[in-house]
Amino acid sequence: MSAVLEARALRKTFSNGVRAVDGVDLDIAAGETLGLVGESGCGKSTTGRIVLRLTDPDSGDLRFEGLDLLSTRGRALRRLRARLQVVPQDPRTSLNPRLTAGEAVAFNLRAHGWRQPRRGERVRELFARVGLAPGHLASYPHELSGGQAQRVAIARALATEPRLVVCDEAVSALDKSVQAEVLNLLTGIQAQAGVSYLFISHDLAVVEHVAERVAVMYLGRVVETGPAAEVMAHPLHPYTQALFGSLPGRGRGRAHAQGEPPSPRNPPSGCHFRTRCPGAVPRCAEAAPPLVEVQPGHRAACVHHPAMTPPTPNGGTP
Amino acid sequence: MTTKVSVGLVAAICLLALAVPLLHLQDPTVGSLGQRLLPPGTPGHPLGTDGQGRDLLSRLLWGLRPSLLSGLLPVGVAALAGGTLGLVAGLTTHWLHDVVMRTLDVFYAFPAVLLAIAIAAALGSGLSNAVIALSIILVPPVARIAETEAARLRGADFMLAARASGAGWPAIVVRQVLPNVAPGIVVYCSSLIGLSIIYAAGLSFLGLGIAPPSAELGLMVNDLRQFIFNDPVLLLEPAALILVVAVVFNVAGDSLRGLLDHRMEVS
Amino acid sequence: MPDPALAVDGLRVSFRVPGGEVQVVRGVSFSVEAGRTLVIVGESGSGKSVTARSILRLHGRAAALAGEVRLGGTELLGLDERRMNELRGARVALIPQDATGALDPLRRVGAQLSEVLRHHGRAGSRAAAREQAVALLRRVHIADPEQVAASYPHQLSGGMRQRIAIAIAISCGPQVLIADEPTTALDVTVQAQILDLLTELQERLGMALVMVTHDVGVAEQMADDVAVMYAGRFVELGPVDAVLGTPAHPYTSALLEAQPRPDVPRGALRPIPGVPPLPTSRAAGCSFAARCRHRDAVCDDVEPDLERTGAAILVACHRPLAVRRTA
Repeated sequence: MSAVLEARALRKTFSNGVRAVDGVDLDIAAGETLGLVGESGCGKSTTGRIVLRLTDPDSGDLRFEGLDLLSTRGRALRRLRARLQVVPQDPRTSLNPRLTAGEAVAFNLRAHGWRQPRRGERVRELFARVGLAPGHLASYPHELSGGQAQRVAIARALATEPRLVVCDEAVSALDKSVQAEVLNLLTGIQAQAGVSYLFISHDLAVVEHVAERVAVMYLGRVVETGPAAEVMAHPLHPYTQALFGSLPGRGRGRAHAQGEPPSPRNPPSGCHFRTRCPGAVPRCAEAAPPLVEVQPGHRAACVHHPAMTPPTPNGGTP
Repeated sequence: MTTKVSVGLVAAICLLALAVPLLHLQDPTVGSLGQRLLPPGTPGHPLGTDGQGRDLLSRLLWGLRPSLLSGLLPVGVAALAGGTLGLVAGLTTHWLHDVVMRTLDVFYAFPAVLLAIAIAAALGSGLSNAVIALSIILVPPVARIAETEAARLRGADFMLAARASGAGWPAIVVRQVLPNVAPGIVVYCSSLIGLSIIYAAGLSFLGLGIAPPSAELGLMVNDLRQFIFNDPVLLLEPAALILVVAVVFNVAGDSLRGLLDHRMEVS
Repeated sequence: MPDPALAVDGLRVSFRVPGGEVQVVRGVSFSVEAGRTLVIVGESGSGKSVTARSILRLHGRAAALAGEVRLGGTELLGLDERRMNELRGARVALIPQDATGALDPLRRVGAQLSEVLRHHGRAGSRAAAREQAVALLRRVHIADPEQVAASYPHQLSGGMRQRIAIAIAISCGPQVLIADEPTTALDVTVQAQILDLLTELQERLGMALVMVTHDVGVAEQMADDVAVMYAGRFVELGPVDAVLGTPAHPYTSALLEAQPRPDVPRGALRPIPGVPPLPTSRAAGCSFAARCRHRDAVCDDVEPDLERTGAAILVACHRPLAVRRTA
């Protein structure tokens, strides 16, 4: 299965000292949705921007469709962007208030050489695909509801037939009833067109529904990754456990994270989560635990999880 | 004053200024000393004559032209130059932004009027030098407005999407940024026109603008100043015209802002 | 029988807009006993925040209020502003959605807390107020309260600021606490801590709690009773297990179905078609009729009243969903 995106050891520290991304690895296969979850300040949005090449990482490796994305520049990069798109968070600001919905989508087509009359046809076609009436072509964003505005943003992202779309909290600002229709739209498009999604969200219920695989981030690092259903049902990392345990409602485990999240400018040594972890031991402060495969495909970065050791020929442990 | 009225007045003033050569006015630069300081209402000189016997109605109308020019042209130049500088500074975050803004700050450190006087004096008298001086002092405030507007957009989600679209910067600036930023700049510049007219009159008053015997409103105020005890009304005429023109442009600018604010509030 | 801590009867709230008046809350009635929690659930535009804030009469002259709001035995809507101000903070307090806006950025946190205490006569001298402020911060589980009291709001995290807002709210021992989406702006792990804190404080101080939220999970966790709000009115009101377990109103049911859940296959979420009516363009009949799967002719003509359906639930519907009675 060809990987659409491969990221290795991405690192980004901002000039104000915030270590936003501190060694992140990601893999996204064709037609798959990788959910990137975490709370505010964990670096998921920054990771998304690095993948989109809108922010330059300090170090690391990034391959898109096998191509080294970090060394692609200028015209080649701009051409490549047709296949790497974004749906931003806030429907009120994800569209230019001075452009009509049709113009907003047309802008992306124009950027890649689409001319009339094909361009106009394509815009109409995209509107139909996202379930917008042709009357909305001439609507301004303030005349559209939140759900409609996000549909326009999705149409814009799909305009140039992308292979990977970064959905950066794409449904977080919508009411639940509207969220449902936008999520249905996104999953429907994926089924039809085989596009991959990097779905960034802090909302676990949404990610659980829409992602095949999930990566959990805390303070710049990925602490757990694996199949979504598996990670949600049997979270391995204490932070993931606290995250699910904190969901409001009854019938969920009541595991909690203690205290306040530390400052991303000065994260704790070793494992970043140790200051809030109920199971912290002195060893946690020594070094950042690596992501180890605890179950097939399911990895967690915690000293309490031994790496899967292969069985020795005579059956005993080495 | 409603938008229509004020914009209508602005149009009327501009048309009047353009039409002056077609009106059969007396020669504004020639007068006869026997006709000096005639009061308004004198047959043949409805607004009187100045110290050299030149018809004031004619001089006022002819003087309107360079006054308007030195009001509108510097603002136009500042809009283009200042707007461009501000946009570039607002959309970038690195050294270019700092270089532009700190250079502008240097100009800001000087009181505008004094700077205009200094530049005009250095360049010498004449209408074009006055226009240059005024353009220079108007660029920093316009650039600052443009920078603020552009910076406001920099973090917007649609700018993120625009940068991710694969479009080049020219297309992004013209199609995405300008429609958002232009109204604010236009409104601000319209409020500068009145100011520019007054500054221009001030420069001429000090002898730094257009040279005599040409008619110019500020120059006329300077000429008639010495006759304030003979007939104060004569001095009031050019002064009042400067005031009226500046106010009309200001009010039109305010109405424009009100109109655009309302439309932008809706979005 | 003693008065309930808070009783609201037929509350109507209108705002003046160019062109007339807009009624945002159209006749809301409920009561909350001491120590009990009512959670008002609704989406944006339902009027839930306006309802909550109107209990404290926070809209001032911008809003026209009608109906009755009784705090213990005191009727609030007829009071003059001076008397109302005495009650705000002392007997009924608000926890706002975003504490950042509620705290003065130019003053230290401890000073703001002290000011509230002295204003309501809870502390005499500055020193006494300072001590009480620190004690309050400790009560909301802020570690190192002296340090925090000496800090400015911008130096503290969102969760910390919300704890401070809660500390201010409980400082004078109010009988009723109104929480307007208190955790919406917070991360999930911090949200859990804040909700636990509210539960603990309520048990300890015996306050009645009215919480406004759009998050059904929060209602599930915090509520004794749930009110579902749509287009300015309650469409369903009852004990939490009944309303969220076996909803009687089609909107409640649709809202619950729209929540993404692991057992729903992808692409099969059930959104609610259409959009809620704007306060300025309400037609006759039930405000949910246009989007309702069970609509009937009568629904377009007559707006249903909130009525008891047999079980403990009140529902405003001509054709409520069958409510199974618990044995």
